[in-house]
Amino acid sequence: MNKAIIAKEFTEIVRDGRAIVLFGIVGLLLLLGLVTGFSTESTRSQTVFDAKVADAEVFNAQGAKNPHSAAHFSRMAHKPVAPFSAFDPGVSAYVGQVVWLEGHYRNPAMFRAAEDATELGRLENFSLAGVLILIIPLLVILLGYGSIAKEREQGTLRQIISSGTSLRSLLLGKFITVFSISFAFLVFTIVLAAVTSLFVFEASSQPFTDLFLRSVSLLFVYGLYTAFVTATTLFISAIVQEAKNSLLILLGLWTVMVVSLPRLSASIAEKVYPSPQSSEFWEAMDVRLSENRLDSSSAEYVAAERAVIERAFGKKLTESEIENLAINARGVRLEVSEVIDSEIYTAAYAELFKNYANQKNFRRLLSIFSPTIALQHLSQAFSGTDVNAHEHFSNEAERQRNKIVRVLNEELIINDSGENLRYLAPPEFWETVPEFEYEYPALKIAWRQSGADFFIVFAWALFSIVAMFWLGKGRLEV
Amino acid sequence: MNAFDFMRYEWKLQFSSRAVFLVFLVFVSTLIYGGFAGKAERDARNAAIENHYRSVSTTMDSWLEDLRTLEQDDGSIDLPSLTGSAMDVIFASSLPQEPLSDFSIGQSDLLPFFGEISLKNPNIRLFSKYEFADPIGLALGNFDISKAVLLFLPLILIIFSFDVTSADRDSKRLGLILLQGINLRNFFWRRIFFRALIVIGVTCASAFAVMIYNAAGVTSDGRFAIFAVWMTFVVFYGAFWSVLIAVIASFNRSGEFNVLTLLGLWVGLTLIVPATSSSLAESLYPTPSRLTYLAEAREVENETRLSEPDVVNEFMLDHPELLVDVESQFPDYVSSAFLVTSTVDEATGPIISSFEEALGRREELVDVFKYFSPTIAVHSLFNEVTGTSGRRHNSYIMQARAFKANYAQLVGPNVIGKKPISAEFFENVPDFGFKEEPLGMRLGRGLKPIGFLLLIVFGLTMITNRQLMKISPVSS
Repeated sequence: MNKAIIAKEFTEIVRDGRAIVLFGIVGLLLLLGLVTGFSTESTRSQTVFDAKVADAEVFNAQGAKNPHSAAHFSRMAHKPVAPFSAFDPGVSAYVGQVVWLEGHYRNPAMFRAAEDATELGRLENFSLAGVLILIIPLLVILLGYGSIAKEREQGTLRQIISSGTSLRSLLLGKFITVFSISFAFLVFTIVLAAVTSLFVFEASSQPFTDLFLRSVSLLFVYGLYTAFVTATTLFISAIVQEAKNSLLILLGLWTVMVVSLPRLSASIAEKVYPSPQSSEFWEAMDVRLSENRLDSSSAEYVAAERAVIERAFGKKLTESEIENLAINARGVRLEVSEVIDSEIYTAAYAELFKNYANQKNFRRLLSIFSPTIALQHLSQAFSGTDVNAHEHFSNEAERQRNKIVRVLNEELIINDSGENLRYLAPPEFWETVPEFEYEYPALKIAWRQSGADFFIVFAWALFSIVAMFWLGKGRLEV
Repeated sequence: MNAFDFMRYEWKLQFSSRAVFLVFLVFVSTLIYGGFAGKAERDARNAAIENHYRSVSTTMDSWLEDLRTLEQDDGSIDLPSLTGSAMDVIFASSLPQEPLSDFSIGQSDLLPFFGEISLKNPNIRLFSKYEFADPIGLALGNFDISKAVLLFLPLILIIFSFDVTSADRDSKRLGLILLQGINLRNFFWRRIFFRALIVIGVTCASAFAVMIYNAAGVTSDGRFAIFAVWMTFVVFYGAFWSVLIAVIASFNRSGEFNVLTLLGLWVGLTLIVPATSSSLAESLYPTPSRLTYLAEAREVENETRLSEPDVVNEFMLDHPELLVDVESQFPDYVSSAFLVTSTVDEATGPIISSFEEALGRREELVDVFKYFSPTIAVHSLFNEVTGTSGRRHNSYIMQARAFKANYAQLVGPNVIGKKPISAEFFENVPDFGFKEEPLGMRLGRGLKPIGFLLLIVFGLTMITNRQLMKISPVSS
């Protein structure tokens, strides 16, 4: 019986000219999203690669130079293009692309790509994920709003039921039809995005298995979301007397849940957990740094100094050995202050990211009114373009900064025995400074951080499917 | 039935449905929330600007005090070694907030609106420490009353007016109404007008309340006038959508058909066309990558340091007066930093020009799309009128760079000569002041598309009237 219902539904959709036009429009939008997404991201990928090479060349061509001057010039940590950013750019255009690994300071990532975009881009996100989130529910609604309501209006619902078809079978058949059409769009889009990623971003060398697992994860959560929209559409179509009213209610829900709430939730979250003002953040940082400075005669400072010297020489040293060493005292002071300041920077940035996490949790709370919010979180997480991925990059860049500055300070400590910073490192020294090799966090970390979002989308899907089949137990007025 | 009775009837008709009333309530709440969100953003921006000026002023007061002491010093006071160095001077700069900036956040949450101007930073790092904000909020586009109007006013108008005749048609009443000798055109337009009046009227009333409430604590110079301009655009936008709804409704098809068509138009005009035009503009006219800009700047910085004696010689050729003055007070690295910054700025000038060129071309392309979508046209005007457009922010950045270049020219000889500037000289250096483009000019750019869209409205009205004439008691 189900097969017959599904076949009938498919035939009706194929015969309906409007549906074909709709598929064409959705297909075109997805294609446009795909082309623009990949054109932008592949250019970015190449630019990052070129900039990285250029930065290494400039750093290595400094000639004879004092290591501390080199610590101020330092290196840049370039953020590579995320594994699935052409599918969902997430926040990557809003968080900066490069970190200046300068001595003394932990700088935030600079150059947000969005600053160079047109202001119209702020009205609507037109990435593939943006199109799927916005348009797929609309497609489902337009395919399904009249599924039951029209049958009732035309009197065919009574005929179908009296012919022995159970309500549950009818709903299941209609559900499978509408869901499979929308799911086909999802599969088409995500598979195409994955395949293109493999070819276009060869340079970023994302392992195939990682891309495959990310695709499957995306397909899974988008599939759950589509199941929710399909079940809700059929539920409304079943309980409302007229197809027109069903359409109006569903469009109202779409406007609220898909268009309005995600935007409003972000705005409200920023009001509830306001981001710090940059001037206040940096002023507070200065105060914390100066408060944390140790007296050079304190035991803590002496211990830090000793640790720095032992690390520079790569062995444990006795008190008398240290006293007899020909080392640059200023180099030691610089490295000790790096070590001490680093704790403050880490704590301050952790607080900043904690605030972003609070904002995300608040939005998550609001996703009890709209699973779209949770889906956006999941989509960005699996694409490697969420705030967590940026935090990971920022922390790795800081680790690299500490590494570079340490190498430069140790060069000074060991080689400059005077006090006046006169030592010039030889031109070939710069090539010994380690390169920044960044790898995006593994997918399993994204899953671990997105458990709550997944649960929300899953619960919405389950709840709507249960509600739909609950009607199928004969609670539907025919 | 007079106009007042008609309006009362329409009001009752619309709000008798609990669902419609609820939707309307949500819409008004969204407008009011948008107003408050805009106010919060504006207040935060003002506070940030205030903090910035306070902090710069504190630093510079202390710098000036040291300099004055140095000028009166007989050598007995211990002052910082770089006292009076022009390289240590910092200027506060900001983009003034326009009177109605709470009505549209525009690009102000993303682009710089204040910053220190100092010779220590090359142009590329002039505004590199941006304001912190929730990245997801930025990505989704901050919410304000203008955005609420742009996105939701058309939807509410559609909900209120899509069934202007189809409700009667679907329930087979339209034929009966026509048989009573009612002038359909008159009846149709009165309904459209009163329904639009309710929606646009409530929108304007909510906006007015927000305008009054948000005025607390800010100077109201010109706020009312600019609000009137903003409101004019709201009325135009509402009128455009009302006429669009009218033309679809005049085809006398089912309510379902009307809703689907109008929804398609809404998705197309408010979401797809803006997003497509933005993507197209960015793909066709890409700006040079900032990473390339940075790489170029670093390369020049390195080369300048490596060939510093040559650069100094070149500078000396431009300023021979410095050759006779051998008395220097500051260490070499001060003049060295100045030379590096100036050379980097000069060398990366062409990249900045190509940024501006690409932005100009993008704007030209987007200007074309304004003729296709009232949302693009009105969105741009909202940002212009509230002073939060990308163009105004970019103008601020350019003016800040120009100010820095002028100051560098003014104090260059002193810095290269490693000498302090005098307190009198410093006091005569003008502060940064943003040169505003007159509002008339800003609006002028966006009025042509509005004129074109008004012509479309006129054309659609004619089509509607012709379609209405085709409706007869038999056909309905």
